[in-house]
Amino acid sequence: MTDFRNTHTIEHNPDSIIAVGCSCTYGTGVDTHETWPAQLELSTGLPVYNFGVPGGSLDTCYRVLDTFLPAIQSRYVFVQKPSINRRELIHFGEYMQIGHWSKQFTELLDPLEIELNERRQLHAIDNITNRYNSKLVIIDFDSDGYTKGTDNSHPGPDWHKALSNKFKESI
Amino acid sequence: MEKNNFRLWHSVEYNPDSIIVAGPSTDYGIGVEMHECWPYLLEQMLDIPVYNLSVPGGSVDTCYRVLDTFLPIIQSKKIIAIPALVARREIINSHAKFNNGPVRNSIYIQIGSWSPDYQFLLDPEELELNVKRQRDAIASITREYNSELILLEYPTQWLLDPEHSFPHVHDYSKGTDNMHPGPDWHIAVAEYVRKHYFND
Repeated sequence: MTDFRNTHTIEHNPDSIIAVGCSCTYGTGVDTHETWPAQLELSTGLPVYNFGVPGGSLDTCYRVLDTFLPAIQSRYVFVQKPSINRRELIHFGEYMQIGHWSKQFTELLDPLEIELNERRQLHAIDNITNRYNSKLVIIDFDSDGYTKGTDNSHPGPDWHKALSNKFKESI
Repeated sequence: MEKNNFRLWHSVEYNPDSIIVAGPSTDYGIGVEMHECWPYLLEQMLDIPVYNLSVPGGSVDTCYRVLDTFLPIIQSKKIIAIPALVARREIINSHAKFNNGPVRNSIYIQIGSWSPDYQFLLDPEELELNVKRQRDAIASITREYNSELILLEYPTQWLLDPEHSFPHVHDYSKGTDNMHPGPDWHIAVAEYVRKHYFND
């Protein structure tokens, strides 16, 4: 599917897992089969929808859930928590990922605004998953001590494997 | 009594047997005296403390922010949220103090048609998603504190109410600013809320 590394059809499929997060969920720096959503699918046998977005934020996680959760209604929603110092904005029909790289819309990165936004997004994500009776698990997983991916910036396959195992414990 | 830019007449403290009202200027009571605004009248009718945490120029964003600040302290069992479903937003600028109408020396910027520098936050698609996001966030934070959430949505309330009995501002007098509703509307809203949500 465009912009996602998701291989599954979007349809009602409660016996599934939705994975959201940033480039670390998308799998920048690793192959598709090495991403934590792909490894989780392999180890659980449940279809895992990879809705990771490079540059994504908690705002993005909510937006993606708002788009896909009503259709799929997965029993599990697993969030790989992105940096809180990022935002997302819809601007003339496009999703703008805002972070340290941005020249525009940096008003949204004010420290107090960021602090409030984290709580707001987490509450919003909690409510949308609650509405669909999905079990919500959020993990903020450090990549220190793991290898790097092929871009020498994002985490490598061992990090993805470890995170996949962490999420699997929640099932 | 004006406290911290709110029309609060109670101390902010743990008080679960109370009601929080979080809305925009109409609920703050712009155009009427404090003792004439509907949250004050509701308190008189029910004999339950009402915290009026409404903000002039406020948006659905403001509604969540106010609950995030005060609900953990007061932990009211009833929350009446009035998310203004109009093209408004709020963001924080921690380096500045803004004077937004009656809101003085605030770091909270109320954004609307009057804010040329922040029109990017008022993109129609962005607004539509934002309303859903904030409403979800408001529902979650009230559930976290075991509070009952009552959503009053003025532009649609009149249509949603099968009796069409929600007081429509056009049927009432204007306040002293000749724009916001006058005292008779506030009396009617207090009566409506009491009748529909408090079985009194």
